[in-house]
Amino acid sequence: MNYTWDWGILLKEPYWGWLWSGLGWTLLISLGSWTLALVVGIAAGVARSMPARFLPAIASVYIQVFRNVPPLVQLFLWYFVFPEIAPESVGLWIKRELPQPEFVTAIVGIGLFAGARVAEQVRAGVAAVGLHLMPAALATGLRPLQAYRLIMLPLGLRAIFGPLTSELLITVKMSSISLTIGMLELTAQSRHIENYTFHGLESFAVATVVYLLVGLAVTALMRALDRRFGATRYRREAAT
Amino acid sequence: MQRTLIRILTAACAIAGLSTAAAQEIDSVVKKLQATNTITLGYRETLLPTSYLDDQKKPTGYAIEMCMRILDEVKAELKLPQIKVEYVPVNIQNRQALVANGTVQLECGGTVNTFARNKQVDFSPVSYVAASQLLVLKSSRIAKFEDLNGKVVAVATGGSSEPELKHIIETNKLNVRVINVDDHAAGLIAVESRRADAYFNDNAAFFSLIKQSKNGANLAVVGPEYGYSPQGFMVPKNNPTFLWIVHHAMGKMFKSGEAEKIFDKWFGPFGAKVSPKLHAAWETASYPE
Repeated sequence: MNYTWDWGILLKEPYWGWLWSGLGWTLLISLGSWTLALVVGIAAGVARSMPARFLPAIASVYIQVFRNVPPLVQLFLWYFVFPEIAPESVGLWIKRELPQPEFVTAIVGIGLFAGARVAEQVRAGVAAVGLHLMPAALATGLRPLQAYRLIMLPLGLRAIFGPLTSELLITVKMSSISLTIGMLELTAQSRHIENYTFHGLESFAVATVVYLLVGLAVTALMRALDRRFGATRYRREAAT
Repeated sequence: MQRTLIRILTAACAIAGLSTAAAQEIDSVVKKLQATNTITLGYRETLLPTSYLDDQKKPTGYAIEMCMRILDEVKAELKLPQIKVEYVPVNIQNRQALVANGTVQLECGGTVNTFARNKQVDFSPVSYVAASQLLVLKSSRIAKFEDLNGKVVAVATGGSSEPELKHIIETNKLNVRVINVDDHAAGLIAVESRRADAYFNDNAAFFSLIKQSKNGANLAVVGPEYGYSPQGFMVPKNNPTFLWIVHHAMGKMFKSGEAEKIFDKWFGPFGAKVSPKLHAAWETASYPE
């Protein structure tokens, strides 16, 4: 193999700037889609654990569809198909007028996929802290939604801090699939650098290390949050 | 745990560094041919009519036919009874790397010969000269680069057209939103779905796109031919003997007029003729015996 290693090339402009801008987009897509995933996931998870009929049915349709269709296919559906089946004016608006259409589509696509997974965690969390708390909560005079907001959710979310960390890590890594719709995030920029310099091994090695560092930072952050608010704290206090 | 991880990564890097240092062999292609009678050709799957898969999923096209002639010459020159060809599909993103690391020994596609690429691979003489133009919907009424002001333009990430478009935008002071597409098919979809008003690329790729399109009649190739993009076939570095055979074989084809015949066979149906720039490039490479 005739490969000359040249790590210095990554420090040169414009490649150094490309890596940073790629990292920026990766973080923005991850944050955006994670926010969406949390909102949708908590809503769907709560809806699914409710005793009523209608809401859990809608929530489980959402969860099953979005959890079982491959995320790349979902992203393509949102990007290529959705604007075409929407009314023409809406479709054109999405394709042309919407600021940063690729970015918004990436957040929606990845966020709704992650949301379905978060929803299942939330449901499991609520079930874990005990749906039997519900009658007790209602007996104190809380309305059902209040019972969820004040008792079931705070306890349920604390119980699932660990799995949620994994979901967040998956979301960060999944942001790379947005390169297929033209987002120049970290992976795309590494490939971009490879195309111009033919030093892909270096750029991808750096991207790998950056993903690892982001992942470790996310894990550390979630651990800190867990110590501050999560179930661990309560377990520890119960033990002493 | 983290310390072990770092150790493993360091070890992996060291191994990667060593293996490249050890593998700077001269004439590896010829040595492999003499030992195993095989050669790996890279081809493009959808680059009509240059290099693509036919109905039987066999690589075919202008570049493939040229390469077959080159292989005939290789056979004669190295006195091999036969050559077994292994085909490897390549794309815009991986072709360079696959040739550089020797996986592909002759890339029969259309890669623009640039000084930057020459640092990692060698090139055959010019097989085709492309120039960049715009693929638009006829209804868009875009005819020249100035018409792009206020429009959305798609460009393939990583090709040579990307810096060209940037240059056009800067020199003409245009207000253009650029979207990046992954391959030519995505560029076509962007134009047809009106996500972009134009797809800026070298015009060699447009033949196949218009043919692939369901509404090819609605598409037009417009704009002045921008730039000089001489394409050739990539060969791994450090293969002087093989590269010489490639140059010799193609020089002979240029001189005998065979190259023009092959060109007309594949590009004729698309209404293309050997351009003056391509003629000039061929004449330049037609060295005397």
